[in-house]
Amino acid sequence: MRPFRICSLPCRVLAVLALPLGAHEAPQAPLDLSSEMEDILNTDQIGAASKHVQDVASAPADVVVLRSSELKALGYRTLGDALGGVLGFRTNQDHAYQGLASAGVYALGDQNTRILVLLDGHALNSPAEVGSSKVGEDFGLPLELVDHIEVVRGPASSLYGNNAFQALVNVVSLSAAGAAQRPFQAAVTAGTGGLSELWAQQTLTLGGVTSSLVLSGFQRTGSAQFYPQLQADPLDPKADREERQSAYLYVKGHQWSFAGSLLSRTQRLASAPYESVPGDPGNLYRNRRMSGEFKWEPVTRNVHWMVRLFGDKNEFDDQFISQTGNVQGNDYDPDRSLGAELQGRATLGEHLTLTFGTEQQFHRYNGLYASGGDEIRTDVAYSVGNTYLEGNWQPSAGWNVVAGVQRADWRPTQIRNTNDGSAQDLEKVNISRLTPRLSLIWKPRAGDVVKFIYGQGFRFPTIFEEYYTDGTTQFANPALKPEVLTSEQVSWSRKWSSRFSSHGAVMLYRCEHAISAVPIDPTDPNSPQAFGNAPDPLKGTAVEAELAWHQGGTEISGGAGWYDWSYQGRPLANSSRRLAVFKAIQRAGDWSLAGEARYVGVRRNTDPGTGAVLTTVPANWTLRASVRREWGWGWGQVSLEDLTNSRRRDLVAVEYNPVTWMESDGRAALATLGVRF
Amino acid sequence: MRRGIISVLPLACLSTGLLAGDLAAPTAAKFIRVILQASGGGKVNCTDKEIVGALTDLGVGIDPESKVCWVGTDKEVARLAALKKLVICPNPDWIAMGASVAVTAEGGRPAIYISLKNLGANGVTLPDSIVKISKVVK
Repeated sequence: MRPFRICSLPCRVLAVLALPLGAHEAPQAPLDLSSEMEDILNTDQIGAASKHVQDVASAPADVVVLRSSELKALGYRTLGDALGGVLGFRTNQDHAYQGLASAGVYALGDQNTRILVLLDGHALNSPAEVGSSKVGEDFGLPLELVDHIEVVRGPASSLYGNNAFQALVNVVSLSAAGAAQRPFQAAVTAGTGGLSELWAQQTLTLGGVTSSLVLSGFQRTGSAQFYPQLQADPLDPKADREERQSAYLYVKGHQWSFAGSLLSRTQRLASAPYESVPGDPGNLYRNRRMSGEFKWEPVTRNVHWMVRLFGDKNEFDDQFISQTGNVQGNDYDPDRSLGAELQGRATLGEHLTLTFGTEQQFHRYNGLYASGGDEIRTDVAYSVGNTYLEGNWQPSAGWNVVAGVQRADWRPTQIRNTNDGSAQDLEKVNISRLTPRLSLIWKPRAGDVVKFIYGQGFRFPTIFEEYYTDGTTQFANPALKPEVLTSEQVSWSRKWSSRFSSHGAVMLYRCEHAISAVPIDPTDPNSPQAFGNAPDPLKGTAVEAELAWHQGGTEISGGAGWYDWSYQGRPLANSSRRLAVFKAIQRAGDWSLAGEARYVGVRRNTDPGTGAVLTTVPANWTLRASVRREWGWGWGQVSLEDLTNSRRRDLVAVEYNPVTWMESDGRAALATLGVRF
Repeated sequence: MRRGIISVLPLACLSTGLLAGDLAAPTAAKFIRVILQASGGGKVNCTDKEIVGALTDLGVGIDPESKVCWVGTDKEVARLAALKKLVICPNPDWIAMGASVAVTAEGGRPAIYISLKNLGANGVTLPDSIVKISKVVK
């Protein structure tokens, strides 16, 4: 029996808690359980860090959980918007894809191949990576239907393999979380820039099986953009038009689930790459994605099993209008794959768990580039393997040791380029590597958590980087090595009280074999490009500090980070030294009022040879405000975005090189009305 | 390799236990301790090894005869509820089978479901402060 405590919380609460359980029992001492309950209810849960659910204090990584209540209150529309509110992340908007920076850095031209994005555990990234970002409109699921977002700040390849390079993001839908939902929900959003979105969800439970189908459509007419280094005049907003249609089906039964998705997204390209006509709405990128995954999770006495069977089809195509008004060229890049994963998690004794598994994917990529009657085909068949083992041992109270190792394989079985009917088989090079992980978690006392984290991320060269051929990129690079990011982190989290907490972290990064586009002839501005590994490592340092406080219906959080990335002693292009984010949410009954402020420091593009600054994008603040009202039958919300950011600037690599900067109107107002019954 | 998988999976179907579901074992253990404190009991009936480990770290004893039970499978719920046990489980759907309290994860954090009817049938009353933060299943 716990001893009495002096009242430290409102007496009303304690008086209630003091009631004995069971009227027939003798009167008992008042128990102060309210702080324990508050502590439990405020414990974030995360499943992505170790492929099973843990509380964040026990996760062997620096993790953040974005909860549905926060996502709804702030009125984020895209996954990138939500992730941009996580310290260390920021979006890079080039109006082709919504890029995502982690630890302050975003490789220009990257299509988010360095951050693994999962939807209900299914990877949206494709090893081919021929055009998509996963965090913009091409994510597909409305954030209103997201239960929570799990973010691992740092590499996670020791379990997930390819692409879990800088960070890992797992989006868990309401359906996958098993959250109670009304049978029907729908919402319509209208906004500035001709933005409109409509989605509807039907949920049906029959015989213990719950199915949920979401249909969604989006379009915006676009906003005016200005590429002063490419064209003197601002471009017509119509040249920025974007539209998307998507569907997501999730069926959940006893120990099994099925998820299927369809998505099509089209983005006009005001940036007019590859000498096409600026402002012509015929210039466009189009992404299509189709996926299906069956998951079975049986349990034995000591082992959780998971069997996953999945298939994906990712398609990218583009079209460019020439100065004569004709289609000057287009690409069609489909990647199809089938895969399977078997995973087990065994509990050995009370303080040791082992997670083990193996995953194999089999891909076919059949790229086609057509221009002026000429056709160039690239056909690649390849497999990707991922086998992992991780142990979590608690040697004594307050200590956790997590160690793991992963073996990854990338094995091409056919690589053929066909140019004007002439076929050529290219050299096949298998790639494999071992990726370790080691974390020490120390909880010296309740509320204090210190983590020492060593991890690695890797990214195999994409098909695009290794074998792709078109009118601009013409050289196979079979000798490309995978990029490897080694991370050493120390973090300290402390709950000063049930309402106030802090988190601080220091991270050291070392990236070897970084892959980037390089002109074959540096002296020729129209030189074809190839991809190569950087001969020297990129080095990064990050220091982050965050505070969070909540009481009643008020939540306030914020943090600031300092980031230093360099290559050969010079600052890395498009890295921001300073980032900060502050959020405040006030809830009162059915109302919520939320605001967010983000700061992104100066970003520069420098000459890799001389270090001279070529392009500078100034620091800026972005403000967001949102008010939301809930009713029994639905909800209404008005959001204002980028209040001060009337001329948002971002660095852009229109054709990978050269890098320029663009300016666009980032301001937006959105109004949403939703119904549920 | 294929033969090995085929032989393992039917065995896996014979499931007799379930870990903490979509809630971490240390979090589930903390919640069980709160219920024990509220009920004046010091021990719990729990067979889940991971949760047992977390309970042991919290100084909570294990007793197969305890009135308070953590149940990881739906089959066990009805049996123990019939014995007038206070059943805590990780799935709110099992309250319909007789469980009194369910603790699960929603929106990335724990959520508590209780059945006043099932609690009353076991002669148990929880403090209002716990009831207030719980979702009451009718």
